[in-house]
Parts: sequence; C-alpha cells; structure tokens
Amino acid sequence: MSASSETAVEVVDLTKHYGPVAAVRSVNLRIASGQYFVLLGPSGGGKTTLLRLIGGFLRPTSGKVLLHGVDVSDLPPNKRLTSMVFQSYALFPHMSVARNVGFGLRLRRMSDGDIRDKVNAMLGLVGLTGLGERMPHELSGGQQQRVQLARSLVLDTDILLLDEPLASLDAKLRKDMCLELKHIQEQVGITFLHVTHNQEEAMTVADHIAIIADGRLVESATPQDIYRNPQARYTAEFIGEKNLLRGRVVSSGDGVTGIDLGYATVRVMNSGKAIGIGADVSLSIPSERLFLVDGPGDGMECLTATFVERLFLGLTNNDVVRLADGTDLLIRSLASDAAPDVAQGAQVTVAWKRGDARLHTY
Amino acid sequence: MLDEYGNIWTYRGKWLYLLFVVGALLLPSFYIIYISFNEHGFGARIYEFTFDWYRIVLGDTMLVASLEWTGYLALGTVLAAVPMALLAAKFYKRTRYKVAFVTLMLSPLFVPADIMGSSLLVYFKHLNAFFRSLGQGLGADWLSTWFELGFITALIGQIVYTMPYAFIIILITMSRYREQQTEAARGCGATAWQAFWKVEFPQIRVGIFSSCAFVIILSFNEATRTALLKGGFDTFSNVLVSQMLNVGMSEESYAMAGTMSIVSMVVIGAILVYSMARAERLERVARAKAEPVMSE
Amino acid sequence: MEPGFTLFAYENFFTSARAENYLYSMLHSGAAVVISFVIGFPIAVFVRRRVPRAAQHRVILLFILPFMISELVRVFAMRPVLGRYGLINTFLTDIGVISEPISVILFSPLGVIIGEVLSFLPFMVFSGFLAMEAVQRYVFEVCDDLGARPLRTFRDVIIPLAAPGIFAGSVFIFVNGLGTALVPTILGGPGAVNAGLIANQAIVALDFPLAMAISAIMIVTLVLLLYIGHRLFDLTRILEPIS
Repeated sequence: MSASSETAVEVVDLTKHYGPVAAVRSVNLRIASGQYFVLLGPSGGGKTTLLRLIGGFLRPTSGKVLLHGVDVSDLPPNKRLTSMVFQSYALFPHMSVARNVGFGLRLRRMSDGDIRDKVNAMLGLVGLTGLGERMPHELSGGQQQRVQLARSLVLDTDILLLDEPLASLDAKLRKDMCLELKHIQEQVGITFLHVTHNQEEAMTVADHIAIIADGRLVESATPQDIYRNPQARYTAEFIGEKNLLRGRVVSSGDGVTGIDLGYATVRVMNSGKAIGIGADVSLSIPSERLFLVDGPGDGMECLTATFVERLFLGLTNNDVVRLADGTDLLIRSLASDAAPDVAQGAQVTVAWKRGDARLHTY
Repeated sequence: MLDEYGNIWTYRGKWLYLLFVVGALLLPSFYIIYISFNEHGFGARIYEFTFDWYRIVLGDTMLVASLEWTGYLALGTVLAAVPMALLAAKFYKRTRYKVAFVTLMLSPLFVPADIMGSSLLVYFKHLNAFFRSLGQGLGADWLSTWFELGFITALIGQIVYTMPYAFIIILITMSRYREQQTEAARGCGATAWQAFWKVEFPQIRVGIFSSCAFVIILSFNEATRTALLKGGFDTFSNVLVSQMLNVGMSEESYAMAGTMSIVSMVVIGAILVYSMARAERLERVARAKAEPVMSE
Repeated sequence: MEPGFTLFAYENFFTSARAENYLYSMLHSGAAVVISFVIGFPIAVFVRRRVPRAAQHRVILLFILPFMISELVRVFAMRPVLGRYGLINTFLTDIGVISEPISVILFSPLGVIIGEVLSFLPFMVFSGFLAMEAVQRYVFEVCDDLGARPLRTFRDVIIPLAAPGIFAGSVFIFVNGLGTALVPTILGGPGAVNAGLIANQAIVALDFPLAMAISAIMIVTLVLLLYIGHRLFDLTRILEPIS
C-alpha cells in the first residue's frame, strides 16, 4: 500500500512525564494515511506510551496529537477516530464473539438486523465465520486477536492502533498472524499503527518503521532504508545483526573518511556528511557482508582477527572472530555454501566491501 | 492435596483440626439454640423440645418492632456503604497516594466498638448543639433536629463500621479485573459510565453482592455502636443486652438469642449460597478464559 | 460540660485504679493475641499450602460462619458453656476427669481471655491467610529441597515473609480486645475492666471528657503500634496482592 500524501496522524513535540520520569520526550512524527506504520523499540522505551497518547488513553504533559489535521489532545478515547487492539485479555469475557464484535455498533444504536449483517461480514473478513456464538474462553489465542480486530474494524475506524498484538502468541502462530494482519490492512486500506519490540514482525508488516527508544524518536524510514542505510548508531545496533566498531576520524576527503580504530585504520564511504577530524564516530557492517579472506582485495577493507568458534544454525553458519582489542565480530554465511572449517585460535583476515559499511555520527 | 509425597494422615489430621476449631467457634451459639428449644431452660436435667419460648418472644410486639428497626438499619447501611466502597475502590486504583488512602479507609477496623460508639456519640452531641443554636439564630426550628441521637446517627455509625469491610471485598474482586477491557470499551466508543456498566460491572458483580451480604450480616449483628448512638428506639440486640444484664439468663433470653441467630443464618445463608453458586459458575468460566490455548 | 482546655480527665484516668486496670487488660489482650496466633495461624498456613488454589477462599470462608451470629450472642453463649453447670464442666464431670466444677474459666481474667480468643480468632486466620500470599509455593519447595526441618522453615522463612499480615492481625485483635466492653461485662465477673468498658461506663455516667480521654489514649496506642509495625515490617506489603 503506497503512502498517500494525506497525514492520518501527526504528533508535535509530544511529551509525557510520570512525576520525574520522562516516558516520551518531545517526539515529532507524521504518519501517512493508509500506511502500515510500525513503532519499533525496546521494552520500556516509550513506544506503548506513545501509542496510548495517540489513542487517548493518556494525556500528554505537553505537545499535541492531531488526527487528520484536527487537534484531539483533549479528547477521550471514545471521541477519537482511533480504535485499539490489545495484547491480551481485552475481549469481554461475559459476551459471545458476536456480541463482542457488535459492542460498538450497539452503542451507536444501530438496528439489530444491520448489526448482525455487519458483524457477520467482519467475521468473514478475519476468518472467523461461524464462530459468532462462541465465548472468548473457548477460543485460541490467535482467534481471540482476530475477534479484537473484527471488533475494531467493524466500527469503520480510520486508524487502528495495535499494542503488541502478537506478543502472547507462540512463534509459529506469530508468523502466520503477521501475514494475516498485513493482508487485512491491504484489503481494508485504513492506517494501521502497530507497536512491537520484535524486529522480524516489524519488517514483515511495515510500510514504514519508526524506532522509539528512551522516549525519543531515533529514526524513521522504510524497512529497506532502515536495514540498508541506518543513520543512527542505535538503529544499526537494534536492527539486523550488524557489527559495530568505534573510532576517531583521522582524515576526510573524496567521499571517503578514514577512521582510527586504535589497532588499525579503516576507510569508509561518506555520502557528503561533513565531519570534523577527531570526531568520535561508529562504523556498522552487516554480518552477512563480512567474509573470511586469504588477503586484502580491491575496494575491500580488512582487519586481522583470531577465530573463536562456529555455530551451525540451520540456514546460516555463524562464525565469531575476535579483534585485537577483544571485540568480537559476527560473520554470517549460508551453511549450504559450505565454507571450510577453521581451527580455533587461528589467525584470520576478515574483509568487507568498503561501500557496505555505514558511518554513524550519532 | 498438593504435596504428592506428603503423609495422607497428617493431611487429614490438619483438616480435622481446622474443622474442630471452626466447630469450637460455632459450638456456643448452637448450644444456645439447643437450650432455647428446651421446655425447662438451661441446666435442667430433662430436655423437652418446645417452641414455647419462641412463641413468647415473637408475640412480644416491642421485640418485633425492634426487629423492624434492625431491618431498616441494615437496609440503609447497605444502600449507603456499598456504593461508597465501590467509589473508594475505583479511586484507590487510580490514585498515586495508595498507602495513605488505604490507611484512611481501613482505620475504622482498628477502632473498637465502644470507642467508636462513644466518640461518635460525643461528636454528634456537639454537632447537634451547634445546629440547635444555628436553628435558634436563624429561626429555623427544623435545624435543631439535625444529628439528634436517633436513626440517622445510628446509621452513620454503622456505615463507618461496615465500609472498610465492603471496601476490602470489592478491592479484592476488582484486582482480578483487567483494565484493558475498560480501555477496549472506550476505544469502541463507550463513555466512562457505559464502559463501567456494560463491561466492568458484570464482572465484579459477584464481589459487590458478597459485600452487600457481608454488610447486612455486620449491620444486623452489630449491637454496641448502635446502642450508644440510637437515641430513642431499640434494636433487637439492645433489648437482649439489657434483658441479659438486668434479668439474667432467662429462657426468653435464650429464645431471643436463638431468634437472632436463626434469622441471621437463614437470611444471610441464603444470600451466600446464591452468590457462591453464581461464583462457582463464573469461576469455571474465568479459569478457562485465563488460559487460552496459545497456538491454533 | 463546659468548654475550656484541661487535662483533668487524663489526670483522673492515670491516677485512679483505672490506669492499672488498663494495663492489666493490655496483658489479657496480649495473651489473647498469642493464643489466637498459636491456634489460628497454622490453619492459615495449612490452607495456603495444601488446599487447591480454587478452593482456598471457600475454606477460609468457613471462618466467616461465626460472624453470621451476632457478637453479642457469641459472647453471651459462652456463659452456659464455661459456667459451673455449663457444657464443659458437665462433660468433664460426666466422663470422670474432675469431681468439682472448674470455676476459674468464667467470671475471671481467664474467662475474658477465652472470650476474646473466641471472638477474634477468625481475624487471625484471615490476616494470616492474606499474609501467606507473600509466601509463594516455590519457597516451600526450596526449603524442602534444601532439607530444612519444618520448624526451621517456619521460624526463618515463613514468619519473616508473612510478618506484615501477622502483625496487622495481631494489632487488630489487641486493640479490639482492649476496646470491647461486651467480653469483660459478660464473662469477666466483678471488677473486670478494659478500656472499652471504662469508656462505656463514662458515657453512661455522662462523663464525656473521661470517655474521650480513654478514646484518645486508645487511638494513640493504636497509631504507635501501627507505626512500630510499619518500621519493623513495612506493612504496605500487605497491599501488594490487591494493588
């Protein structure tokens, strides 16, 4: 689903304090209509707080929340165009599936016939046809989440908020539900705002990802950009299994910057960023773009290291090597490529294409 | 029995001990009821079953009137104490000053009956004196009756006495309720009241009814505070106490005590049995819903 | 009653025999607490440990049964049980254990203590039960695994963990024992008094300042006890299950 130019959700300088603790600090974010937007970050980092601020379950300490351009910061949840799907235990246990889904419609005083039709249509959409008379405790975890979806979508809400909806499901089910969520969003076409700490989930469903940590917006980009061109060091640490090296700038020019790592100097491509000599920077290299080589090559950077161990993970071989200063590097290769075994403790050379590494100034 | 390697006989022994203690606590009261049916009263060698004493007691119009007052007090107390306890429980969940608030709410528990009665009595007397002078000053005679010792003052005393119990029971029930459900209801367009009434209340209903039952028990059986705060009318308990202390343990006393106990047990027992049966059904449902199957 | 600040009532209280009686009644209440603990707390532990979770509340509710009967009747009912010709004495005489009826268990301090225990024992069971919530199953399993003998487990593990609840229950029984006029009136015999009875008598005699002085002393006792308990055990722990 491509992003349209209309903004569904906008938060401006949004801040939330709990006494002395700042849960959300001055976040500015824009979410386009019809997108599947994911807030990704570590537990306790503020992403759920942000979601609840948008949904109206929390009042901001300062800043604004705008839905379709309208300032809703003072409105309670039932007056906003949002609807929320929770992690668990949010179905009304004393009502059947059909009555759960029809709850909001009954509040709007729709006729019974209309309610029945809409509920059945929605149950069909989420794949629960025929289960209308079941009680919530008779359903599996995945089915319960679908009922929540149906309950929210049946209200023709514009913006659906999902608070770690898959967190209490087991791994296999999580993968399946992930895809289902994506397909439903594509079918219905409304904006989904999904909070999770699980990378894979985020990458599967998102049209756009925002990384929220320590109450701040770290970076916001498409999944491809976040993976291939992370701007912040934090993003590189958080997404993908990347290796991070720290160093100081010693030279700059021709789009190439030289970094002193302490035990060696490497060069990295620098797309026009102006960085002063002596600045502290980091370097990230994807583990799948690191190779064990016999010697230096053209356009490659390399470092010497000692081989530690190899782990066979089914799809990949994960090799761990140790650099001169004790930092471990992770090298991933397809196990089917059958790279030759290396003796523990052996001296090896690791190399990467200069253009595969990324420079982080913050 | 939860310990697979434990000795079954120690387990049974402990159960017996438990039942023995409960029995010992209840024995005296049942003994009274036993005596109250005896033609020859307490201490007699022969036992002849009779309803005579009860007939005398229930035929006494003064006593029956006092039963009525007891009933009104109980009704008034429930209607006031339970909603207040519910509001207090909701406030407790939201506030940041939990400890201070709970201390406030539970403090009446730690004040003995006579102390509470005496203090409230003196307090009401002063209040009444104030309103009397106010009434005289403003020429509004009806003000002079405010906080005169009577039904209202006894009612207030009972409300203060029973509210902590209702508060605890409702809090414990509410601790099982998940706030997400209220939020989900709000997200579906419900106002705060609608969310409470349609979603939360059906789930805490059991707790509310239990607290109603408990408050009725407490109010019905309360004697001390009421005695001090009642002013002119007599409750059943007061009549019993004065009888007992002045006349001694007459057969009528036993029948009165018996009447109180039997009425208590029947009325409250019925409420408890009904709500336990309901709770049993809901608990079965709750147990199942608390552990949904996590893989399809 | 004339308005004006004076400590006369307190003087009155402390210099009369009443103060002595107050202290004695504190002893009796203390004894009632200890006995209630010894009898009732093991029950709470037993229910928590050995009864399936779902049934636990129902078993504890058994101890509410006595409350279905008025406190008045319950206390009053002990006369025919404890008296010279009462149930206990006739039973013991009939089976030949004694030849003379025991008169010390009624109209005496012992009678008061027994009365207090029987009136308030369920509270010890309840607060013990709530307190044991703090001791989770795995604690017992660890103790068994480490080979601790039951008494040791009890002393070093259960008591410290359940302390706040035990203390709260004890304060409840202690204070209510001090303040209940019923028990000494009905079971105590001549001369038996506690704070509650004094206050009651004062009210009846319309000596309001004295009654209020007693009330104030009681409240101060209570607050002091709760404060000490809080410093020792952190009583706010009791609230954890319901927060």
